[in-house]
Amino acid sequence: MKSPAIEVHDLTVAYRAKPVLWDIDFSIPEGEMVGIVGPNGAGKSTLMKAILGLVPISSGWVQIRGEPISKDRSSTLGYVPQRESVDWDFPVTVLDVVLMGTYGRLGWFRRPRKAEREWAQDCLEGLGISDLASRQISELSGGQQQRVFLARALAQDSEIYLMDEPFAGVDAATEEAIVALLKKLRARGRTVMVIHHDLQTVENYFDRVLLINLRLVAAGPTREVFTRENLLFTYGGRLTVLDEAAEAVRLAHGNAGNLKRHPDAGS
Amino acid sequence: MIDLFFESLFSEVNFSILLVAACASMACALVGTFLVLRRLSLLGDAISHGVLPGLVIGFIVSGSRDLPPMLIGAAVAALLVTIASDWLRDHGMIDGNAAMGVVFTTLFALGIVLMESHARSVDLDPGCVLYGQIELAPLDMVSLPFLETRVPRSLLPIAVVLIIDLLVVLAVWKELKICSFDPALARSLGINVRLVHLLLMLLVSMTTVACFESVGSVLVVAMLVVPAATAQLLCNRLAPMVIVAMAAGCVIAVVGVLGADHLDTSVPGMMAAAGGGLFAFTVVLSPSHGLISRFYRRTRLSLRIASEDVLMEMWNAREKDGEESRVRGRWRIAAIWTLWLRGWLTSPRRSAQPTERGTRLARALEKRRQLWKRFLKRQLLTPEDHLYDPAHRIEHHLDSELSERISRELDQEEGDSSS
Ligand SMILES: Nc1ncnc2c1ncn2[C@@H]1O[C@H](COP(=O)(O)OP(=O)(O)O)[C@@H](O)[C@H]1O
Ligand SMILES: [Mg+2]
Repeated sequence: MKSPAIEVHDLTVAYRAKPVLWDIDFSIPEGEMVGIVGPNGAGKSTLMKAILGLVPISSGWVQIRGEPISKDRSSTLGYVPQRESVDWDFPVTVLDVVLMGTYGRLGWFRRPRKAEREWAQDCLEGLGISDLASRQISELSGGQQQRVFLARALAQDSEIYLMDEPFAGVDAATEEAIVALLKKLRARGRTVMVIHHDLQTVENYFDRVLLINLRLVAAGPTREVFTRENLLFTYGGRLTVLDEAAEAVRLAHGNAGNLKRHPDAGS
Repeated sequence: MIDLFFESLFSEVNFSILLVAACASMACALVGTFLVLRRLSLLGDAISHGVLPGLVIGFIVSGSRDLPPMLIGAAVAALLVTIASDWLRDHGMIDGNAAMGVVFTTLFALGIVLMESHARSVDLDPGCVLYGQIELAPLDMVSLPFLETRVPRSLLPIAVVLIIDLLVVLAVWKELKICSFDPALARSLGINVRLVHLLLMLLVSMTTVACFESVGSVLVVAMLVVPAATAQLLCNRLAPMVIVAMAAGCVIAVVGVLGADHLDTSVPGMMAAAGGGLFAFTVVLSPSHGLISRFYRRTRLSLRIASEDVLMEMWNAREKDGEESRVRGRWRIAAIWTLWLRGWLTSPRRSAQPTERGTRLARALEKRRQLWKRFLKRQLLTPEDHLYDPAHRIEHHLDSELSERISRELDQEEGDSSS
């Protein structure tokens, strides 16, 4: 049997002494689009970082395609960090940033050459922003910044992509472009894991969801798992959010066309 | 005048000092660029002070002022500063800056104590560490096998460190770039971020130590930060920023050395002052970030807004009278002149009429204003009389693409609600 793209077993992660993820257990088959949903501070970003090996694991393990996470994971895992995690005044151009996606493959001392530059340009093309290549990144709008980050992930040419809130604070056109890209990746058999805030679109976008709030509330195919009860559990303890979430599910089942963002989105 | 300048510059004494000052500034500017970009300016401060006990211990152990033992001691101390403050931060005792502050002041004090108690018999004293002895450079010249002229002995370590800095930065250029910009991504790509960080710290400490003897720790701290901060205001790519920072270091050295000669004052002091001056100059004049260009852009924008408002008022005046004008005083006069110069008004007077082109523009502006007002009313459900001012501020920033989208959205919504 083929081993799953990502398998997480009894994972606990703590910052200093404070555990922020308890006993997480799930596995994700190859070629699926997976949404991670949960309130702010639920540990979604931390889970992603644990899979990438960026934060120490207190107990449990993570396997990528049947192998433990190792030092050299550049060709398997592509990462799109949260947009706010970098300094957008940094003196680099859009093309420079996208080229960074090729650094893992290049290894120490080797510089990106013409082939890499053309590849990066292709990736920009894939997100419809090839005309921005020589812009300085501080001149970009929020949506354009997010596209640059995705183009960079594309440049990594990975088997599995982990994206931290790629839809936060982007315009409708960018959201469409990103969704189209995700679908293209899935069509090529890549696995994509996305932290998502907009409950209305979850059913449209994802084959599978993980509902997280410090522990795993539920994981599985969207149709089975993305239920009102599970959402109440996930967002439980926070009354206003609870109501919002319930309302969002009701709306999502009613009319899916009306885009209304969840109040927690983008923070 | 010019002759005098060059004569003064190339007199043997000044030239030796200048050579030392310029190389030291360039080396500091080079590594300082990466500190500034990582918002680690304070770390330059911490390392340049924290290396003192390492220097002194190296000095005591070897019993001489030879560079290698002092360099090793300093490098160890620098790594200690980095590792100890990171450890304090990661274990949740205090935040990063406070951790650095605690570690480096403690080490610096330890260094002073060691120096006072052990090294007094020999010529290593706090004054020399703080202010340097660049003025003594021309007194101790050596000849090199492959050069015809003699160079100051104190230039040698600085030149060696400058070359090492350059080679290392070139070799790990892309690693330095990605680790400074996005360390999380770098780690996920399998790049050893910690190693790159320690390498940079090693370069900073080596550079600091090599420059200590000549220019002193106070100037080292200034040169780590000021040229890079200046370059940041002028450049939007990394390579130009590094080059401009190093050039700024050279300019500071020239001004500092000549100024000190002219005013008969200390070279490092003059250089630090020159650095401050250069930075202030850039803050005012930088084409992209400077105060003047920002003022210019803002004024031009205000003038455009005032002109658009005045044009619409003049065009509207035919329909309604007695409404108070939005643009008054000097702005109104400036706006009227601008409109006339552009050929949108018949004359630069208050009684002027819009020309044909002016009328066309006014009509388009009015359409945009109405569109925006309608949109705001729908979106925010604000009463009409509360709408005017906020709407006013934004309507001038709507380009044609955005206007079109708004109009599409409005049409769609109105279609929805009527059906
Ligand atoms: N570097 C860190 N050090 C200490 N605590 C952290 C750190 N990063 C996140 N946390 C804490 O861990 C919890 C989960 O954070 P995070 O994974 O970012 O949540 P989410 O992405 O779901 O909003 C939060 O309570 C947050 O305060
Ligand atoms: Mg997060």
